[in-house]
Amino acid sequence: MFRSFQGGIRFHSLENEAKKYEIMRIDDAPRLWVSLRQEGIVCRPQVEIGSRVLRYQPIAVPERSYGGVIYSPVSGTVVGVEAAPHPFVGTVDAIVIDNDGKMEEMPCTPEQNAEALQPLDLIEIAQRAAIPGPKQYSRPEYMRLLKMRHNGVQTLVCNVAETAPFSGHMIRVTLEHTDQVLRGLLLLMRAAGARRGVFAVTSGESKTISALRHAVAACPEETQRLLHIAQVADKYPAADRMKEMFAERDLSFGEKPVEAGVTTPFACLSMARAVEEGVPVTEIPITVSGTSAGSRRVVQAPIGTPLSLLLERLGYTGEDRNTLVLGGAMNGIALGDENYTVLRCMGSLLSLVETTDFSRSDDCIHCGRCGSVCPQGLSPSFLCEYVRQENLAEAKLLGLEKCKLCGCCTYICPGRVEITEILKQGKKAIQ
Amino acid sequence: MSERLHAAPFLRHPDNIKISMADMLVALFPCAVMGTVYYGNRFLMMLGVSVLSALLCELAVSMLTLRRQTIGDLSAVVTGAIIALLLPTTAPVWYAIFASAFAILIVKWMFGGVGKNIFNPAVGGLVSVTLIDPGVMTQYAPQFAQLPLWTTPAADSFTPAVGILGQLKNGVTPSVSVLDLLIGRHPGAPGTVCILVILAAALYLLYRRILSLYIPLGVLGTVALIALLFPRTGDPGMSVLLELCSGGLLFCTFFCASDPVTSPNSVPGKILFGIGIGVMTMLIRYMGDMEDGVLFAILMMNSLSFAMDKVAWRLRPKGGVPSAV
Repeated sequence: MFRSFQGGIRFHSLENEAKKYEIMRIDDAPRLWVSLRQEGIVCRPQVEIGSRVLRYQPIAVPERSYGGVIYSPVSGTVVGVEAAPHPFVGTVDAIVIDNDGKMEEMPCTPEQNAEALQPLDLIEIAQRAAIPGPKQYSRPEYMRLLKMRHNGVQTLVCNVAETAPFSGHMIRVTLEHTDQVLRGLLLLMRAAGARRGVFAVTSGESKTISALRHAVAACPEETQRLLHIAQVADKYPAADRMKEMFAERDLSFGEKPVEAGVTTPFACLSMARAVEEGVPVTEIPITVSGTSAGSRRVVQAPIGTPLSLLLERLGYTGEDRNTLVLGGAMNGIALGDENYTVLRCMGSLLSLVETTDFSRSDDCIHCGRCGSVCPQGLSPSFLCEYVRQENLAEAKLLGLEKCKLCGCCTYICPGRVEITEILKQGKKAIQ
Repeated sequence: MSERLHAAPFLRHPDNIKISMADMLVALFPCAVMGTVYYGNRFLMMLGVSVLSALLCELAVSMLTLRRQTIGDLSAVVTGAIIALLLPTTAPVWYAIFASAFAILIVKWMFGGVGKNIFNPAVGGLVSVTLIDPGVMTQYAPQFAQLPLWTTPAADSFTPAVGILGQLKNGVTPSVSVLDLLIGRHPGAPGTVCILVILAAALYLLYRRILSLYIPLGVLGTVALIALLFPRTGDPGMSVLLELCSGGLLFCTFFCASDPVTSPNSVPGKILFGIGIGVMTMLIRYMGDMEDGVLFAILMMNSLSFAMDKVAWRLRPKGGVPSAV
């Protein structure tokens, strides 16, 4: 199975080193700041200051009725609750825990009789295990599963395709835990109501493809029929296009096309562990990479680990860096400094040295390259001009609402126009 | 933290305007080499004068209006080079100076500068010279003739050679072989005679993603079709070959018509643009006074570029309108 899409950028020249090495565990941070706002859901602390907590012990519950519980990622002492910087909302309270280094765990019970679990039971397990969604702005996985059930999703795609530059954690998780990821995908398929599961890998990843093929071949016959391995074009933003690429194709007359549901290898792995070991999500894989000096690795760190520790361990001194980015080079946010901690849903942590010359910018030369790479088939140069002239009606006619702010146009623009920013303002103004 | 990069995306492709223009110069270089081979020092002198004139005008205008110089992006050099490659070497020097100055000052800067011009500057400059002296564009010296370096060749110092288009217009079947066409051993403007070199240059531009094939296919396909259906010589196959390889058609298609600034961005618009240029060129060749109509055809279609893009967008399919470089 091969899928592609129009436009997109091939990042061949940026070597993706992080996916070549094993995941490195950094779980010995002396002090952790576990933010009380994870995935947009604010929680209330449930532990007393000074008390000892074990790993996997719940320490905060959501203020409203929905959302995941926050678990302590390490064993240690709760030192206090103080305001800490949060990348999206300024400052939010965080529970400060001193790590005693022992990683003593609270006993967790695996689910009895996993075969008999109903879809809604599985979704409840996903909520209790606090499984995160794919991107920084996503909702928790259990909410996405509910929405997939509501939409009648038939195909669930596990997005192993790493097309964003520098990013490597999806591939590493899949390579190192292939069987558990596969079992997790089957569980998520049952939860979402999908009758077909697809592993989407980029065409160049032969190691991952063969590992997945082995894992699928080891399954019983009727399971093998449910799972497919699809190769997708090695272009960014393949991850954003998964829903449309794998939408149902054979439809009866009058049937509306149903988009596919998308999940991540880490969510599959976490689901499998939640059911088989009863363990919630407390550690997140993060790609730490970039263009400044330092080693490129995928790191697995407990929630609340200071980012400065991760950067220091991998040799990023910050002397030659001029931008620290959270989430992804193409659609992330820039951090002012290193004073943030690991959240439940992050992407990559990138330390970039910017060498582009911006001395002559905002000069659209109407070359048309932006339109040739737009995955939605839009014409960003025209959209930009209309937004600048505040002619939003014409911009809407040209398809401004279809823009997903993927950043391909801004990447390729030789005139260095800040297209994504301008279109973001335009989209906000339309709202 | 870098003061520019405060919003995604945080990466940029290394190509900027200067690199795109440098690629154009790399592609034009072999055409200039062939021009020197056939027309000697005078061609080199015209090239130098043309480029220098373009650079000086660009420097003057940019310093006066923008208060910073813009000759660093090399677009003036490309304009000057194209003008020298299309102007026959028998023309007086000051035609080259005038064409370049007109191209930069009027056609480019009066309409807004780099990226904002409606008409292709080099084509506009050449058309200005053609309107002043219609005969100059067809007065080709025979190849390997010894022409004076600075002074204008006197009208009786060389036997004027009639190019392919001139012969076709007079109803004479040109006696050039296919090999002559390919390596350029027939009279014509310096950069336009050697077909092999032009095709190689076009392949390079295609590889560097500066050129896309929609406009050339539109232009050349239309010209070939009209030449096939209404041949001016006896044999339709030879007619197609002659019409395609003569005059400035191939050169202008790849270097002037495909200029992304002045041509439509959307693929349907590009095809329409190409067909329009093909039709106008052939109409002028067949029925007009001028020998070759490519330059005028390009100017006429340039004025409709934005309209063609708008038409493509109004009729857009659900998946959006594909654009190309």
